Amino acid sequence: MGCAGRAVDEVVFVAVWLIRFAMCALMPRTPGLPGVEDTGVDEWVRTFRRESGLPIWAGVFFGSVLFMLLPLVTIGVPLPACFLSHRLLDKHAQKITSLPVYLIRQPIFLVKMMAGLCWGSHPDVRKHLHLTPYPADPGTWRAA
Amino acid sequence: MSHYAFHERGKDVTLEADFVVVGSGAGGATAAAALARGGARVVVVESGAWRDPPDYPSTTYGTMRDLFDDWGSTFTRGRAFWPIVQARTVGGTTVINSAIAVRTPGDIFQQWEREHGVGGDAFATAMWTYQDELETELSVELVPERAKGRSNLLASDADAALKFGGHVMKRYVKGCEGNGQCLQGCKALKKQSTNLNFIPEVMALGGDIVSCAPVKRVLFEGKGAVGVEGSFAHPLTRARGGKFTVRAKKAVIVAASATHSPALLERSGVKSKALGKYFRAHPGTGIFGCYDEPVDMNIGATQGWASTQFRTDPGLKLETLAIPPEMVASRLAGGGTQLMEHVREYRHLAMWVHACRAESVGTVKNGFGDKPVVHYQLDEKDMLRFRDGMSLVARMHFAAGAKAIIPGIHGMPYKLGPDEVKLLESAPLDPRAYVAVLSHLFGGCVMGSDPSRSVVDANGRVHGYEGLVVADASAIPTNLGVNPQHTIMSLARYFANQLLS
Repeated sequence: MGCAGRAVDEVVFVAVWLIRFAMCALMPRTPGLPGVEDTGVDEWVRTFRRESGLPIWAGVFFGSVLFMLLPLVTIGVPLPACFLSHRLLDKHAQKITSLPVYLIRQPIFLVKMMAGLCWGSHPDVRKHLHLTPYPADPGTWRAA
Repeated sequence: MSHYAFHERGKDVTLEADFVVVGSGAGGATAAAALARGGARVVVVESGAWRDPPDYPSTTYGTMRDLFDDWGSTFTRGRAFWPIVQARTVGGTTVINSAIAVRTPGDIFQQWEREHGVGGDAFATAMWTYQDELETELSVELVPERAKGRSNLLASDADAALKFGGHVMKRYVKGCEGNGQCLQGCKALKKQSTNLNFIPEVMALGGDIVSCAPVKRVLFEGKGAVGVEGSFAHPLTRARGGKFTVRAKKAVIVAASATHSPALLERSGVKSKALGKYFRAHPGTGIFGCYDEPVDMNIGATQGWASTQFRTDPGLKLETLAIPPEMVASRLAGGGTQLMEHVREYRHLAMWVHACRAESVGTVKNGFGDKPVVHYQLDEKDMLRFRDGMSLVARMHFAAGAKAIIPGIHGMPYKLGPDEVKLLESAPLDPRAYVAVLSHLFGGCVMGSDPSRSVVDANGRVHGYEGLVVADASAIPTNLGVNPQHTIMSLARYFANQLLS
């Protein structure tokens, strides 16, 4: 693998980590209810990266970057979100979804939507909501 | 009769037929079936893959990946970015919608005649005759009692109390089991999407289906359309495959949707002052009602109750709509533990929506990568109408016994109690405060007698061209105020029969 290939891999690794971090913070584990971190999020984000189109991937990535960078705006703490305590991170996750700036709110909405897609389709969550588990998505089509 | 799916590079496909139909949804499949029944040889070209019910996804993620048009990433450009819900699969949006069948209101034909020089009584009679036929062919039924589910029953209760003129929905669904999975495609084979009936019928009558085949352009000889061409796209990786060319001896029928049809005609070089203009929609949003007892809105028909009483004044349709938990999570306000507290209530929530008969018009252009670019925003009058819809839905929830509602409006309290519902009357008129979607689309290639204000004539034929017909929602010149599938299908059958005659 050349330098360019390695650079791309590193960028993807960071992007996946950012998205995963934001999703987990937006829908954390709470007593009696699984959070995104309990729903196979690592594999989910990798699959999403592999399968999604550029517009939606870019939107979610952008939202995750904003989530990481904006604690100063939401809670007045000049640190990236990954350095916040649990309590402050939770406060940041709460505030960032209701910021008055639409162009920030919308990419965050996209990350929240992805968190919801990962969380809500997991068998443990569906059991908690009295719903039967989803069968696997076949991902098949008529080839001929 | 063959099906041509994704072909790799170097494996090109060339076909010839009497008619080539672009798109296999409500318009394309209906037109293709009518032409095939008339003895013509038809090729249907569809940009999405052909998925049978066993191939349908289960999750909303899978639905976005496998059935939605470009992951549902088409959105309006305006003050607010509202997503446009469309499918890309054989069967088109009929695979993912709730299959609601509403006859075209009579005032629509009068309006078309008055404002666009098409329509009128004879046209209305023909359309309604086709709608009768379609209702029989596609087994239109009322939602059966066993499939109503609690959310739809609660809406009926509210309607009984408020006299909102509601009704149990009629849908193209035969023996609904109430699986609550209309959005993901009906695995129970109850919903009569066009991939299950008209498309197989076209094949049985000797036609061909080309799937995974986004059309790049319509081919012309002079002013006559003679076929289409493009390159196959892999359903998962979107890798470009071999080329396909379909020659049409008689006509090309474009039925790629209200967003893709104008974009396709534009990149094919069709000249029309009205092309891409007069785009209209039903922007809509929902309000959750919070009930003491579990509602379990995903048990029962996804949509089962509606009211069209407010279609003309103020211009709204009210409906029930069950959304899966993975979508509920993003529709509830907040983040972190606050959001998790909100989603705990899922079982006690019912979502009811309004679809706004907006008069605002937008445009559709062909964008980068052949993706349609939709410029659209509601004017103040429509936003007032939109806000009225919120109040009506809120009133229904309280009439049904909800202890609170969740309006989901930015800048407003998360929940409102029965005494606070009046706050909705002063809710913001800024579209950015709402999470809304555009579900029913109209225009872009509108029908009319004046070529300076319309793209197609009363028979769907593009003004100034030979052998080029538009047969989908893009030809509809006004906002119907009701679900458009029945109108699209009857219009497509009408245009197809005009071609045969």
